[in-house]
This record gives sequence, structure tokens and C-alpha cells, in this order.
Amino acid sequence: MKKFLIKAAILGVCIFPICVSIELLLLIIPNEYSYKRQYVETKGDEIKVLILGNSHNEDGIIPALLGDSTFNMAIEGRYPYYDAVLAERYVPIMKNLKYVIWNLGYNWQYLNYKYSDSVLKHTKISTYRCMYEKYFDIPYPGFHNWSELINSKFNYGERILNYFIGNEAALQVCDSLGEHLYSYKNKLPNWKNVKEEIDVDNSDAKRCFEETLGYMCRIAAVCERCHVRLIVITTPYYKGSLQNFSSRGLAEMQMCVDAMKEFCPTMQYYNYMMDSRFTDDDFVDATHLSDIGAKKFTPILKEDCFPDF
Amino acid sequence: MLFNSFEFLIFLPIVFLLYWFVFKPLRAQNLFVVAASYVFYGWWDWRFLLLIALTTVCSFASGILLERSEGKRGRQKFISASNIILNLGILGVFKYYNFFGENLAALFRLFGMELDWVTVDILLPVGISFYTFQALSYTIDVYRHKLQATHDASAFFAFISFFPQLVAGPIERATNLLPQFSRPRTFDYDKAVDGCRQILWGLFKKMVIADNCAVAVNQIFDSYQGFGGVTLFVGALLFTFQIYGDFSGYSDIAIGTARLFGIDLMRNFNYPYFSRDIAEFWRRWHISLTTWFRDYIYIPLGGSRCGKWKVVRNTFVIFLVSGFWHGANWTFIAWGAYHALLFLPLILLGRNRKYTDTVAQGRLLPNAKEFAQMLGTFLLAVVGWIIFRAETIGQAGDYLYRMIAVPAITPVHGKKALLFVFIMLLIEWSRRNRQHAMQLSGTGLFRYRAVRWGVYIIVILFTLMFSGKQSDFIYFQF
Repeated sequence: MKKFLIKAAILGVCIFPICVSIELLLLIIPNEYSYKRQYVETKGDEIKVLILGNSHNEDGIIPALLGDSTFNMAIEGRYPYYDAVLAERYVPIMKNLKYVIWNLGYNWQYLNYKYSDSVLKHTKISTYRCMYEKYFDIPYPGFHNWSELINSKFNYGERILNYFIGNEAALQVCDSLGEHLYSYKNKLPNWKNVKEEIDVDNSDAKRCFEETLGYMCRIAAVCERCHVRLIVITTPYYKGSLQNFSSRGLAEMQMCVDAMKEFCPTMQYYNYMMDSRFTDDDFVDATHLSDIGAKKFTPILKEDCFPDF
Repeated sequence: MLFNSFEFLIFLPIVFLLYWFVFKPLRAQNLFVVAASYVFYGWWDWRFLLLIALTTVCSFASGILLERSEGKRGRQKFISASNIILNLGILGVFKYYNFFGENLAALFRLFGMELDWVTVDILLPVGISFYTFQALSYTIDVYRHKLQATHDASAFFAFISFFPQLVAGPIERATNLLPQFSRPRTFDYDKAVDGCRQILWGLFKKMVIADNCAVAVNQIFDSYQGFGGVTLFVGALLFTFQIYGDFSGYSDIAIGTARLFGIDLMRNFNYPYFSRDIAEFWRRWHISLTTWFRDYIYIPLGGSRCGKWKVVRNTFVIFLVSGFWHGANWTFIAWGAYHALLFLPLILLGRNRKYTDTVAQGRLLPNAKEFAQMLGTFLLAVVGWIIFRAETIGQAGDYLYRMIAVPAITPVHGKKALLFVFIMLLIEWSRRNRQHAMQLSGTGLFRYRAVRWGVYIIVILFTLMFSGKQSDFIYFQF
């Protein structure tokens, strides 16, 4: 037994520093999270329009087409909680910031990092917790969320490999202004399917809704406090997906808008969910715009929200 | 709790140290195994611990009652039948109620009658088929006088709930596992070290092979109508390796973990994709289940030592039951029937035990005939896995049709997974006469300890760096 324990300890001593080295190496290899944080912290004063939100905004809005000094800080799978924390952290210190664009989608009142296992089945939740803790210093309760080796599903092995072979193109997830375009050619054959996974009858659902609404209101409140115009949008959805949406979900969406307006009366809301100008090639899936769709959508957004910008 | 989770990484060393250093007396050690196993299982859903406890208590009691009824065969038959019906009843309710309810409702709907009340959503307890079959083997073996009934409740509870194999096997026979819990265990260095190596290889197969294949497999099967034949074939190929990596990986981790505790579990996989015919495939795939069906269903029915029609019947029975064991869906039954059709000619011609040795024994590569036989058997297995993976029989047929009839070239998914599969196949081919692929010692460069350690560290790093998205083991649902 003694021999076994000694050998196990030797193996552990060999492996542990390697794991720590991988974690530290990942810290210095650029990724979308670290890039966007660094950009906002170093060039925050230059930003006039800050785009928050998740993949719907990240894929759908091209900062260069929207206007001067726009930065797309949205990242795939971001929960309103993280948007609230980021807004409270960065909006007050960005001196020239005029607008914050945030997106609201169908059933997002249930997008909550705490209840993801019970209400909304989200397979990547541990990845998001990890990435925000590691690269944005936004901790989640628990001691092992920091480790990508334990939590992340974002192909850290490939990131390290690409870093060492100098494949910078593969490491670059977004462009310099934070935009992440998704080619319509890469969409899957079942792109029209909508996954409706919300369990609104779950005992956690009510608490989840209230807490998430609270985060949305925090975004609104910080914009109001800093005299920054908050623009909430709902990006276009594929027309076929709308038939799956319930009146309950749509009514709750409007409730979220109304609640946010109470904290930020100047807030503007633009709903493009049922916009008929968008066709098949404009989408990569039922709820996300493709590169073609983003090029079509951004000028529309600009014309509606910032006619004089 | 998943084997490839952070929780298990903490759980295993703690249980290992307490097991060998704190709970040294046999009874205390067994009780500790039960407690640890219940924590392991309860991590998923503690409510279903009651089911395991019920199965255990009933099977334990049936053993004692069988012993007390010695000489009264009729009474013994009643006792064993009652316990079998109870266990199969629990399995039936939790695993098959929805299936029968839905099919019954569909049947009545044909005659214009609505029978909605028969469909209720029942949550399937993880691994229920595995521990139920293990409990059944005890009752049947005691009834057949192959095993004496145990009076040691702690050993029996440990036998049913032993955490490494509780949720996905190998399905142990009471004759093998129960005696190991009834006698004192001593730490065996060689066994423990080999167990660690087997765990490592199991983790590689699960995390690198199965989890990477799963991403492409899900994409392709979920929208197979939009893909060309080549992509569909790749999807089927990847699922073939996903299910192998997933299940044999689990078995390797289970067997390796058990060896750390001084327990030997039976082998569950023996490089099945290097088989030369379907009969050999079934001697190498999910061995614990195949032999269970052989011992408790096939042979009691007469096996192959009876008339031709009975052999046909027995073959179909065993494969259909095997298919149905996997899940409450017609696709699993069709998968069983498909394999029965492939197996039948071999058994009728008396060629089902033609290949019992290792392919290309003593040679680096197989000859052309062996290669063709392996490829043919493998492709037949691939077709079977399409039926197994599909959601309906119609979908399986459509998938197969499109795979052959729609040669359109569409983007091929899963190139990275295919590369990993190729690496695994190379390693497994080179170690095909060993219990598992990480048994390196002995020949060539592997005589040197530094080389062996180098290989272990490379495999560990590879597993850490290139593991796919963590997911449940496929066989948990069975």
C-alpha cells in the first residue's frame, strides 16, 4: 500500500503542475472573453455605443456599420446576471458612452445562471460560469469554477495547440470591434427547429423569473443613473419559429420591458421578432442572424435607433 | 455522480483511503461500501435509493426463504418466482410503463377510442436494468443450488450496490461477486496499479472518443435529411465508436475502480470491432449481459441443443429480449431482430464458435481474408447501430436509404473525432491480446519504465486537452 500511495503521489506531483501550467497558459492565450474585457478597460473612453447581451446581438449587429466608436461586447450564452454586473462595472466609468444596446428574447426571463439545471436545460452552464470567473472576475459560488480543465467545453486543447503552432486565425473568434459573424453556409439542415426547453411549471420557475427580471432592471437602473440611453431590442426570428411561441411567453416578454421602463423611463424598445424583411439566408438558425442577416439588420437598427448618429 | 466528473475525482480517493485505513474489519468495510455506493447513486437522485433498497431486501429475504424451504421444491419455485416477478415488475413500471401505455393508447386510437389516462411520464431510475438483473441472478442461482443463500446482509447489500458497477455494469453474477464480499480483502499492489491503468484508458475512451464523437453524431442524426450519403455514413461510423467508447470506457473505469478495492469484476468488452463474424462480435460485446441471457434464458430454453425450429426460436427470443432490455422503443427490438437474423445462419450451420482466438495472433497485421472479415462484420454492426440510434424504425430506414441513395456531397462533420478514433484503433489493435490497452509491460520499448510512464502521461495529457463536451454515459438510460 505504501508503494502504491507513493507512486500515486509521484504521479499527482507530475500531473498537478502540468494542469496548473495549462490553466495559466490559457490565461495568456487571447480569447473572446479576455479580448473584450481588455478592449473595454483600455479603450472604454472611446466607446460611444456599447452592445451588451448574448449571441443574438453578437452575431446580429456589426459595430462598423452602426457607427463610429461602437463596440460589440455581447458574448454567446450570456445571462442577464452577467450583463447586469458588467453594465454596473463599466457603464459608470466610460466617459463618452451615449448608448447601451441590450437584447431581450423570447423566454429570456428564465435565462438564469442559478436555475439552469432545473428550469432551462443548458449544457454549457459550467463553461459560462468558468469563463466569467476566470476572465471577467465575476465569481460564481463554489471553489472549482475557475478551472477550465474541470468546467470548460470551449476546446481549450485546440486553443493551446493553435497558440503553439501560431494559427492566429483560428484563435480569433471575433473581429476587432467584437463582432462574430456566422456564415449562412454553415447552418445545419435542421436550422428551422426551435428548442423550447422552458419548464414553466417547475417550482423554481417563478423565483427564476423574478430574479432574472431583477437583473434586467439593474441594467436599466445603471443606464438611467449614468444618463446613458438604453436601447432594448429583440432581434429578428425566423418566421416559422413564431408559431411555437405562446401568448404566455410573449406577455411575459412585454412585462420585462415594462418593468425595465420603470427603472429607466427613457429606455427605447424595438421589437424585430416578426419583421418580415428577413428571409431564409438571413438566419443560421431559427433565432440567430447569419452574416447576410447581420449586414441587413444593422443598417435597419441604425436607421431606427440612431438616425442622426 | 459521473466517473468523469470533478466530484468523482474527490470522492474516489476519499473512499479509497477510508476503505483501507479506517474500515478494516470485513463487516465495517462492507457497510462502508454500501454507504459510499448510496452516496454515489444518491448524488443523481436520492429518492431512487429506496428502489435499490427494496430490490436488495426482497432478494436477500428470498435467498433465506429459499434456504429454509429446502426440500420443498414447489414452495421454492413460488418464492423465487415471486421475487423475480417483483423485480421485473419494478423494472416494468419504471422502464416500460410509458412504452406499453403509449402503444396501447395508439392501438385504441386506431379504433377511435381515446385512452389518454394510460400515458403518464415516469422518470427512469439510472441503471435500474443493471442492478435488477444482478439481483435476479442471485435468486436464480440460489434456487438452482449453484450458490448458498447468504446470511450476511452487509455483504449482500454491498454486492447489489457496489458503486463502480451499480449504474452501468458489468452485470455481475452472484457466484462471482458475492463471495468476494464475504471474505476479507487485502490490498494487492499489482492489481491496484493495473486498475489505475484501466481507469485511465476508460477515461480516454469516454472523454476523448465518445464525447468528441457525440457532438458530430448529434448534429448528423438530428438533421440527417439535409446531409448527403457520405456524411450520413460518417455519422453512423462515429456513433459506432461513440457507443463503444462510452460503454467500454465506463466498463474499464468500473473494473479498474473495483480493483482498487480488491474486487475483480468480469470483463465486459474484448475488442469487439476486431471480430471476424457476428457470433464473435457477440462474444466480445457487453459480455456480462450476453452471458447473463445465455445462462438464464437461452440455455434453460434448450439453447442450441434442440431441434432447428427451437434453435431459431431461442435465438430470436434472446436477441429480442436483449434489444428490449436496452430500452422501451421499437428501434431496440428491431436492432435485436436484425442481429438475430445475422446470427441465425451461423448457429444453424454450426459455425458460431469458429473464431474464439485473437485475430492475427502473433502477427502485426491481419491477412487479406481476416481484414475483409473484420471489415464486413464491422459494417454489419454499423448498420445495426443506425437502427439503435434512430428515434423510430421509419427514421432508421430513411437514414439507411439516404446513406445509400443520396450521394450528394455535404460538409463532413467530425473530422477531429475520426482522427481520435484512428489513434484509439491503432493502440487497441496493438494491445488486442491484453485485458485492456494500457497493459504495456513486457515487450519492446515498454520494458523500460520511463517509456511506460511517458505513455501514461501522454494519455493523461491527451485526455485532459482533447476531451469533448462532458455528457452522461449512454448506457445509464438502460
